[in-house]
Amino acid sequence: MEYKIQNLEKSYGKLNVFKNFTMRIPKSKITCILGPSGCGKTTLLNILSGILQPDSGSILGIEKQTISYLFQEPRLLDWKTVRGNIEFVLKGTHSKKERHALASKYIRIVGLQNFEDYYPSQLSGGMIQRVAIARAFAYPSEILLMDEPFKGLDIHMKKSVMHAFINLWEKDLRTVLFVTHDIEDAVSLGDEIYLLSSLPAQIRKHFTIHIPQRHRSETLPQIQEIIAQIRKEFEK
Amino acid sequence: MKTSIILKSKLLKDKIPAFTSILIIIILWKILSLRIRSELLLPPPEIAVKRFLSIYQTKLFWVSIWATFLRGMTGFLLSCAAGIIAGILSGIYDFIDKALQPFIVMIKSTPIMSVILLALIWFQTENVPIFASFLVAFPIICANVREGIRNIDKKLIEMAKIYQVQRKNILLEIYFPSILPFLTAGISTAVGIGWKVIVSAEVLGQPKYAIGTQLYTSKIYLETADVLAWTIAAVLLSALFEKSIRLLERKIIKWR
Repeated sequence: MEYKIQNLEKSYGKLNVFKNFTMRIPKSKITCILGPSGCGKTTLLNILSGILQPDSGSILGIEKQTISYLFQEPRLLDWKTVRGNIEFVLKGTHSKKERHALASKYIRIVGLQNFEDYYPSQLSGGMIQRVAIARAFAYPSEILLMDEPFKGLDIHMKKSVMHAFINLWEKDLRTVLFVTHDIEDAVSLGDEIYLLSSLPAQIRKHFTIHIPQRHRSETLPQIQEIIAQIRKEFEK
Repeated sequence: MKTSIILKSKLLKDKIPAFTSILIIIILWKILSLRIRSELLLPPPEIAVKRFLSIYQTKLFWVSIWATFLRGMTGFLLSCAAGIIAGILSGIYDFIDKALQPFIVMIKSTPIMSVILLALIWFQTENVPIFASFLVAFPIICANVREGIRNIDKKLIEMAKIYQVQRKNILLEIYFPSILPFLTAGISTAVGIGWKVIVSAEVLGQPKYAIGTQLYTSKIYLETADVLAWTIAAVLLSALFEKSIRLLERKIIKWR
């Protein structure tokens, strides 16, 4: 059970971002794409979500799927409350009652039950990103795309946001594609980690981690080993 | 209980500067009128207020205020409707934006008195103030709505599209709230100028019932106190209107 990106080509003018790019995304796993900034990570997500059209190549299995997207910025509506923001993306597909129930459920899981009537301007950065995560999970998508959603959060906030994410993910095991340039983030969440080269992007290396996310920590020897290998690869 | 008292005293504190400045103006007015010692040139404030209070009890006062208010509202609603439509279109379509520019520049740079005089030649006097205020308010509202449209966060639209939010909901819940602060800012600027233009047009056009007509009549009979009293009425009308728009704004835009 997997999605497959096959022979993907995409260029901006003379700049080849993807040339003959192929990769597999296993279902119900977190696949992480790790690479330096400007290596085409966001372009890949935009192609998968349909914001961008590839020049050629195919993405097998994704066309007809519904997609949730966690952006670098939370992209919440300032004029809607926590609850309103989550219910907003459910309007076309769920009745009022269902929207209410779904929103309540996900607000609770990310620990914001006391803040559901707050507007984004009244919340901290970490809380806002937790709302965005709750929104992404409340939306019944097949795939969740994440574009560095932990960027710009301080360590404490990042911990709470990541914790909220893992909590949610364990409950529905959605297929996740997560792009980041942060090695620690990648090994904290990724089941499969792909290292991307500079442009045109190619997969340089592939790691698999079998430890459940909840039990991972940077003090585990296996994690340390992978971090060391990734660092070595990047230094080349 | 305690918080409500603190809140009240805070509210009072906020109002102190405004009260002080009003007090200073009234004192200066009083001092000037004592110096000039001519009720014809500058009647003292208490006489103006007394006149206001006696005019305020007449039927003519309310009929005139009502007539001016109706003209203001009509001009206001017309310029809002046209300004919103034109603003949305020129915010979305570059062609319309560029095509509208010459008109807007022309309207903005024509002296308001020329507009009123020409309108007096073309239309019934009753409608001249409406026309004039429309020409003043329309470009302001149009420009603001256009700005609002141009300022919409494209990233939010992208987000809504990925989550397959329906077009109707994108319009109602992203476009509309994004424009709203710009629209209310435009409206409050436009109505401020709008009332002045309405009264000016009434002074020149002399419809049967109007604040402007009363101002002019008082001036003809050299009733300076009456001129001041009617001015107070015009100021109050405009201030009340502005205040209610602000209240409405705060009610709608509560996320800030």
